[in-house]
Order: sequence, then C-alpha cells, then structure tokens
Amino acid sequence: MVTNLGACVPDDLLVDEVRRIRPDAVVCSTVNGHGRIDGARMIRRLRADPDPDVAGVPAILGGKLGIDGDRDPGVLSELLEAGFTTVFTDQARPRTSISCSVA
Amino acid sequence: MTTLPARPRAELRSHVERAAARDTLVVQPRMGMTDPDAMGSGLGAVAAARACTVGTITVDSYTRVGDLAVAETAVREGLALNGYPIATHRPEVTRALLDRVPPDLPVQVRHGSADPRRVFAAMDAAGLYESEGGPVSYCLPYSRMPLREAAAAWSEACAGLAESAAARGRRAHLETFGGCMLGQLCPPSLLVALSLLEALFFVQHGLRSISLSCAQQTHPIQDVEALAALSTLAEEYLPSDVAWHLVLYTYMGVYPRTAAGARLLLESSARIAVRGGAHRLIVKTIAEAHRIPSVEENIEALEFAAGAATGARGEDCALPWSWEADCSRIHDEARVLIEAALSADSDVGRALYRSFRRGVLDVPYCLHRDNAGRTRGAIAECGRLVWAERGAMPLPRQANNGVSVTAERLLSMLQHTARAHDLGALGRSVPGVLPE
Repeated sequence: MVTNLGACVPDDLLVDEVRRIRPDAVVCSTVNGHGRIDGARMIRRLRADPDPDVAGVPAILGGKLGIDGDRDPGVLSELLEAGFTTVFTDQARPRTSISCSVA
Repeated sequence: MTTLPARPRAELRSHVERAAARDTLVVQPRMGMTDPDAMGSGLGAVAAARACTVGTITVDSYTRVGDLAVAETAVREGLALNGYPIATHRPEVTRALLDRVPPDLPVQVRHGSADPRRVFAAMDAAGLYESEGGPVSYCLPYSRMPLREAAAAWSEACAGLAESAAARGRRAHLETFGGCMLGQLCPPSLLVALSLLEALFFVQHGLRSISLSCAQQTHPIQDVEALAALSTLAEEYLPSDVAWHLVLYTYMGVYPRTAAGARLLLESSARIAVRGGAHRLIVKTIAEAHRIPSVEENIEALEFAAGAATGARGEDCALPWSWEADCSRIHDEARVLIEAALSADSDVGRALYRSFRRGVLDVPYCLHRDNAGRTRGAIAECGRLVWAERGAMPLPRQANNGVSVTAERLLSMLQHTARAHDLGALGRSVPGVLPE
C-alpha cells in the first residue's frame, strides 16, 4: 500500500502523515537540484520527532540532489549523516535501487 | 549630465514573426543562475550564438513557491540555486545585468509558479514583460495550491502584467505551459486542449500577444499532428486581434543518457517544430539526464537545433508537413474537451477548476488533489501515446488499445524515449519509435 503525498510536501505534513499512517518506509523524490538543501532540512525535522517510531522510520531519498549533478561526492555522505537511511543519485537504475533498499 | 534612455529590448513576438517570415526557427534555452554577473554572461552567450535565439531567465524554485526567505539567505551567503532569484535581487541589479545584454535579444522569464504575482511584479520593476506558465499547468504538477486559488492569482497577475506593460508602452507576452502537462505520457488531445484553454484564459485577462506550447512526445508524426491540431484550434478560438505563434518543447521526460542519444532526440524535435509549423523551440541539452546544463552546453544545443531545423526544410526529411498530417483525431478529441470545459462557466478560470473537479479534464499520473486522477496514458506498440483509461472525460469510447498500465509497465514507459534514442544513436532501431 502506497500513500502518495504529492509535490512540494511541507515538513510538518510529512511528519504528521508518518505519525498517522505509520508507514514501513518513506520514499522521497527530488528533481529540481535542491535535494541537498531541502532533503537535509526535512530529514533532520523527521529524526528530531519525540515519538521514536516516527523519528526512526526508514527514509530513502533519490533524484537530482544538487544543481551540478553527481560531481560532488560529498552530497551523499552529507545527506546520510543528516539522517537518511539510503540516498540514490538520479543515475541509479530503478530495479537495482529497489533491490538495494530492500536488502 | 543626462543619460540617453537605453534602446528598448526587442519584443519576443516581433522577433519570432520576423524569423518566421524568413523560414527560420527561433531557438531558446532554459537558463538561470543565482549570480547576476553569471546570468548576464549567459544571456550574452545566447545572443552571440550562431542561431536565431531568445534568451531566458529561469527563476529558482524557492522563488517559484514563494519561499523568498531561503532565496534571500542564498543570495546573502553566495549559494548557488537552480535559477535566478528575480524577486530577491534588487530591480537595479536585474536592470544592470540586462543592460549588458544586446538589446536585439528578447528575454523571457520562465518560472513555474502557481502564484506568479511576485515574479511578475519583479519583472515589471526590471522592465521585463514576457513570461509563460498558466493557472493549470503551473499548479497541478508543481504545487499544492488549490486550483481555484491558482486561477485567482493568475487572473490578477495576467491583468497586472498587461496593464503595467501598456503603461510603459510595451506589450506583455505570455506562453501557455499547458501543452506540457507532467512532461510525458499525456496523450496529445488533452495537452492541446489545455494549451488552448490557458491561451483563452490569458486573453480573458487582457493579453493580446501569446504563444501556445506543445511538447515533443513519443512519436514524431503524432507530434506534427498535435501541432497542426493546436494551430487549427487557435485559429478557431482566438480573437482576431490576438497575435500568437506555436512553441514546441524538446522532450520533457526522462532524457537519453548518451550525448549521441540526446542529440538525436533534439534533432527530432527541431524537425517536428519545422514540419509542424512551430516558430520557436525550447531546447534540451546533452547534459539533461545528468544535471543543469552549463552555458556552453546550452549554446551547443541551440546551434545544433538551429542546424537541424534548416535541414528539416529539405526533401530528405521524411516527416509530413502540418498540412499533410491527418490531425483530425487529435483535433476532434481536443475540441470535445475544450467545449466541455468552456460549457462549465463563462469565466475561463472557473470553467477550468470546475472541469477538473468533475473529471471532465483529468491529467494522467497527476497527484494534485484537484485532479481526479482516473485517467491513464500509455505508449502503444506503434509508439503513439494513447488513452488506456479515459476516466470521466467525455471522449468517444474506442477500443482500449489492449493497454493496461502496471507499475512495471509504467517504469518501462517512462524510460521508453531515452532508451529508444540511446539505442537509435547506435544505429539500432526500436519498432515504432523512430519512424524516420
């Protein structure tokens, strides 16, 4: 069962929906090159939630993370450090990515 | 000491009309840098390209969604955003960068805002009156704003832009983005209908100079048919005092990963534009699958597309001309949708959100809550986009093409064009994809 929250999800809405739905995982797609900034802000907000089940939900980010493509390797570790369980650049193939994230 | 007033910047409309009169396709990039000097240099490079060009200022996505505080922080700290923060830089800064750009290059602002009022106000302050978008096309895919609010914001913004341009002796120009909903997998009849409906919305709110967009999709002949249908409908529906032209967007979905595949797709779009009667083409670059393109990659794409467009006028291009293409099916379907939408209300904005609420208009794979979400588009065996599910749209019931869309199939369709052109560039044909 997939619940799709649509485009430009505000941080509060994401946290409220995680609290309400209690999903197995949160998957975020980013396409505008601001994933590095917005993803880090969003995941810190989620990880800081007082409810450990909400704060601990596995969260996956994938897409265009920066405006310069994949040329900056620091972006992946930065986003993992901020709290994502897994991060994919938009060069990842969907099938490989799915098996990776399930493993 | 008095300074002479700067020569006014060339108008997009007359620039395109002059180019069309000498059988030249106008080509235009997407380009937006946070730093004003870089933005000015980029526009200068577009002016100097060996092609007939229009310059673009693409606005960053924080400004698009009205999050000006983040844009301000980025400017203060010298961070690079994905576009030019036009509402954050002072108007004098934008004017100064434009003063460095040759005045014979028209400059269009591209922004993606469901509520463009602040962007249009910043344009006015900088002396720019040419932009694009639409109440549906910049709301449903990119925003959470209710369609009703977007329509109200757009009506105010359009009227304001038209009035402020007139007050300064200029003519505002708006281009519909409705011909590109969600970038891919939307059958052309709905794209054509939405492009035309957004054009009527602009006209209702005071615009007299517009362009109607359509996106390159999965099948070049179908794309020529779509442009032909859009042209016929524009002649039918737009008042005679409205000047208009067609603009084609090079493919907006998942892009080929190889440079050769990307060039093949861009070349195809230039041919479609010429054969289909579009007078302007918004290009994509070889970097598209990987990142935001550099200025150099944009210039290469502009010059390559201009060359391909010249070639498309010769006899070795196998695509039909618009008058040879049978556009009756797309035209008839689009006309049914337009009539159904317009019958909902005499105000085009209200007609649009009522029609979406009832599912009379329904964009496939669009997650916005004001979109019914009951339709599905699919790529048929022949490579054309077809309806797999029509939802409540009043389209004739035809055989369902035997298409049902599973998750697996959706992923495969999203990659279809990229794969076909990456393979096509290696000389390996894919059935139904590259009919040339």
